[in-house]
Amino acid sequence: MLMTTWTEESIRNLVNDAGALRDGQKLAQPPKWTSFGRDDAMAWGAIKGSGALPYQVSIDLSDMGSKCSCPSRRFPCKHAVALMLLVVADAVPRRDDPPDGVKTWLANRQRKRDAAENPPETSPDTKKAPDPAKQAKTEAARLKKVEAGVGELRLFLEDTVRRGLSDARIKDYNYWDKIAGRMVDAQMSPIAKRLRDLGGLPYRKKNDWLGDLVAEVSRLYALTEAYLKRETLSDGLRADVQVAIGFTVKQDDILANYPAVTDRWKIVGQIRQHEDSLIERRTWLYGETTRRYALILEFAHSSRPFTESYTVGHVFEGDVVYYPSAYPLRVAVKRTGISQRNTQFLTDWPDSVDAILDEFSAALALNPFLERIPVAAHRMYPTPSWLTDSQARRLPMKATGYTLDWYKAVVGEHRLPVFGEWDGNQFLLNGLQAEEGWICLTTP
Amino acid sequence: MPDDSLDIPAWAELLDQMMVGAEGEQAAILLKQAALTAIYRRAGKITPVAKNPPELHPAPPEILPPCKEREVSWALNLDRQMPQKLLIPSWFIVLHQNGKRVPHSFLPALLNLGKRAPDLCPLIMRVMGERGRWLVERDEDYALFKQAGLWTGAAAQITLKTLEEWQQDPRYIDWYNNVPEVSVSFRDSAVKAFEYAHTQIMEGLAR
Repeated sequence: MLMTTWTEESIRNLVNDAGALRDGQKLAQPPKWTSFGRDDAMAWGAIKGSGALPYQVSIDLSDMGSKCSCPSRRFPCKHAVALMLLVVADAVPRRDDPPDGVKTWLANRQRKRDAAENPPETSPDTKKAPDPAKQAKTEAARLKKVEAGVGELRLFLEDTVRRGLSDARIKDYNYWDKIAGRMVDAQMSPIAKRLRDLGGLPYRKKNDWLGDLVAEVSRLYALTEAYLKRETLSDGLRADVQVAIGFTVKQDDILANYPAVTDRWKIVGQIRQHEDSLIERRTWLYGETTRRYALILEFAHSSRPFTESYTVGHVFEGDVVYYPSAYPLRVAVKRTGISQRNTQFLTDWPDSVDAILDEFSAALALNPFLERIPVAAHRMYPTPSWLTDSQARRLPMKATGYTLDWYKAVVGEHRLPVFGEWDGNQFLLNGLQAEEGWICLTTP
Repeated sequence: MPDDSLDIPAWAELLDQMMVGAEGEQAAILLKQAALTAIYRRAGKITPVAKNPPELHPAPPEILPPCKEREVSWALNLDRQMPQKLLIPSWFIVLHQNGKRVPHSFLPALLNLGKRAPDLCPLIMRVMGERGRWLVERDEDYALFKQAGLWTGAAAQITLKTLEEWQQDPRYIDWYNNVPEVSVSFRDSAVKAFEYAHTQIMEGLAR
């Protein structure tokens, strides 16, 4: 568990539900609470809601776990969020009379945590060892499904090209949704998502939608080729291809079987993307000594919080383990120390668009299926449409919802250090070092 | 850089062929050629030099420290309903007295508030900081902030009121007396919220 000094920023980072956050901020006013208090371990409060009795809220201050008697299905609910915000704002008085219910709840939580960290020893007879034969059978069945799925995808893509892309059917969402469904059946869900996204391409008001369609269709075809010839690939590239197709690797296996990299890891960026009710969170780290980027990739349902609060601008000592890849970026976190705020911006990052593109070329040479690379750069001038360097070379920016007026006010026509992701087409700006400090942009 | 010894088909030609369609094995060949060209295009992207690169005139550094963003959000939220709306000028005065300014990210909202409520402009000018003044100089949209006489007149007379003085304010009384009968409980809540907001501002702890 990353030990965090809780701040309003880290609370905002923890809560996935924008509605719970917004409503919680409105309730984070002392007059709205009939009673509240805290000690070192917990906070508690009672707040009037729509029911006859006030809702009872409890917070475990070690990890901001919470409990509330309201009927909301959000977790944390707006009442819990409000109490968290009041705690970090130091607006909750210290008391030595926590309600018995809160003490019991906290004790039960601690008991569960202790049990998880120290599972009881079981004898060899009672321990459930994995059945190798059963595992091999499951794996063989999975491989068979994927082989069939890859074959079906190849036929589909070839048929699409035979038909010609001027065929009106390719503009129908159903055309892509049907094959996407087949890919889900074949346990190739990343491919399914990419196919579904193609359905909307002609309607995105882009002049070059056909070029984008051809690029993506051909990339998918190349991926199937690579999968069929995976035994001829390097270990890293084979791993990349398998992940792109839909095979997952258990984090525990990564932690157990690959070497750890120790460093002081600065949290330089964090991007959340919503896909229906699922949230993908990409937290980018940069090792101060190793000078390497590391990506923590997590998923959570929109009604649940992420288990860790990684706050941009903080740094922690820790060990991470890189997933195998031809261009390693994704990591599993093995060990973390205390997270501290450190806004010192490192100085050895590039300051030209050419350097960014060179790095991307080098990355693609190692992994042609790479989606994006992290980019930190100095002396850049960001506007809603372009990221321009001092040589007047520029990268198109991905829309983030921030207005031109906001950029004018925050950037003030200065060249600044920035952080974001480059995917070969657009730069997704995630942060910039303005006069008032590091500003993290949220993605819409 | 692309390897000249490889035969990389031209992208435009590939797109034309893809539009028309292909027969038999030609489809698979087209897809492979497109994949090769696409990866080269992606890896070898060269961005042009901007035809009209921006001429930058960086804003001067700030003198005053910013208040917390949360405080500005809270203050702008007051604008949403009566009677809390009446307290916005007081918030600006206290911020100025505390030697602080509004953070840069809130300047557009602040300047637009001034456009909607010009009588607030003199107070806004006291808390907009050097960046706000720089924005006003550069943008014709904010020309009203440059009008002469902004530091005199009715706006300069705005002072901090006690709660008792607010209760005698004609605008407060007007709102209080015109709340419909059915909304009396709402009025009582709004009065409590007003009193709390007033206390927060006077203590310089707007949340």
